[in-house]
Amino acid sequence: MIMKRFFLNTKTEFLKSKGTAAVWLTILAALFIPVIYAMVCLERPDVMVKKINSDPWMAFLRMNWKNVAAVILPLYCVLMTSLIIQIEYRNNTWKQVYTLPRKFADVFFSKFIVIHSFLIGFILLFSSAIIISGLSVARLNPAYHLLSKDIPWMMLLIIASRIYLGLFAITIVQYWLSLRFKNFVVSLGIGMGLWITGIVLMDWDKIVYYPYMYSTFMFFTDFDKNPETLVQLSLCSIISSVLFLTLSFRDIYLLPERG
Amino acid sequence: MSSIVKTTNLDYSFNAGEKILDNINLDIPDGSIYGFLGPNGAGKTTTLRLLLGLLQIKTPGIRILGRDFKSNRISILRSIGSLIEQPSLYLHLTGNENLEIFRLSYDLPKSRIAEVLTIVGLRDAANKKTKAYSLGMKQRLAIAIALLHDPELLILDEPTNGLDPNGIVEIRDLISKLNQQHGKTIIISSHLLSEVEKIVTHVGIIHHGKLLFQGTFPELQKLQSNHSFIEINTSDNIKAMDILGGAISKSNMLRVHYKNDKQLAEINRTLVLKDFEVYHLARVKNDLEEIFMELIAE
Repeated sequence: MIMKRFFLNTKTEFLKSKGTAAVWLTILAALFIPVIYAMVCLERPDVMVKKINSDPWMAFLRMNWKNVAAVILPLYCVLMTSLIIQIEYRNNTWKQVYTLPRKFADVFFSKFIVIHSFLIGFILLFSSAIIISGLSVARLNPAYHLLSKDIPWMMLLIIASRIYLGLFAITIVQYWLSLRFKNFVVSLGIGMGLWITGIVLMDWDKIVYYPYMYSTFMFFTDFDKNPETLVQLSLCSIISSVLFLTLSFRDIYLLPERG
Repeated sequence: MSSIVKTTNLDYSFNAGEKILDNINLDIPDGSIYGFLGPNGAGKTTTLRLLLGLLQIKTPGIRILGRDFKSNRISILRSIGSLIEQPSLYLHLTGNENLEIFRLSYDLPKSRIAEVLTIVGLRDAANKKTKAYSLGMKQRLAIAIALLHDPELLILDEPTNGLDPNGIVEIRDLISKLNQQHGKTIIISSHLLSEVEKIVTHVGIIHHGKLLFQGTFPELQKLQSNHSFIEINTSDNIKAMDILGGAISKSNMLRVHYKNDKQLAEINRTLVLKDFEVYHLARVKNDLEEIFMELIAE
């Protein structure tokens, strides 16, 4: 019964996001880089064929993922989380949500699931767009050998999973900030500030404890050479996620005023 | 009549030492339309938010449907429908979609959406985006959401706020219908007595966080008649004040208490017979604010 209600309430949270800016942001941001690289490959084969053809799919995957892992996905998480929570603030509906016969945990986690569904949706759409973009480029210009090679599905899955794990803590911190501050600019500003701080502190020896850089390191670190870093990053990501989730749940639950 | 809502010594403060509500003892009878009245900032919305659990209090003191609210929040909320301040609607969705969101949360059959749309008269606009609704339509949809799960108690915080006279009449008629035909107990807050006096059966008056009056509407009317004044301006107000015992001077006018129209005519006759030129003699509009002032003065 509790699970049925939670399922129905999560469904309502999805309904609320129908046709919102969060949906459009997900689609446009996920397609942006694959479309750009498809255009670059078609326009400048003189440069790109040489770059890609030694190991076409791996090169094409890495080329697309590097910008997304380092810049687009962390910023997407900051923006998308705020947009999802703003649906309630903008429409003045928090009070209606909290006067429904729902437990606080139900409200908190159903929204959290929506945020992660959007993130997973982004990653799936982006991954599909890379494949479609690669196949289209090779079909339009046979100098690219992407059609004759197998698509490295496993590598795509590994990269996507690592980056998703690296983003987990960011989504929780941003969720917390978005629930805490009614003003959209505050959560957005803090989120972007934390990400920029991470870029500035990139060479710091303790940067591995800084969640806003996990997705970047998950992509750029050579785990064949430094396998221990993968374990360390994964552990830090999981521990910080659990810590922030606990703190945010407790903090929002204890707010004297709701809605 | 048994009580559907009862609060005992309810206090609330946002900051320590600054009481927003002070010893509120609401007693709202089952089946009533309870007008919860007070000027802006009196504590109406804070009280209603406490009744709905939107503000948290550590001490018990709220009983709804005979049960302690704090320990039975979820089951009590299943029996309450509410509209607090402006309507809470997802403006990018249609009326139907808004209702669907709440229908799923309450796990109700789909047919219930058509039923409540019929009650509030919005069937034709159900597929329009709610951002295209007029304020009156938004209020009616918000009431439809509040009614969706067929609650025993409806809490409506200033539901006519911002509506044109036609919209006010529509909402008022709807509230009467919900009480009389559907048996709902309704708490309706307002800062204007005139807005709710035609429909309420019981009244509570709150001012500066204190419940100054609570009783049936006829009891309030009796109180109101005991606080009726006329304003007079004559050729010599100082002398007239001596003649009219109990008159007070206010804004270059005299203010005199009266009980009925006969007494009003008598005051006029007295002044004319004593050769005063009477320039102005009018009933002071006996609105809620005036009653507040009198109640506070007492």
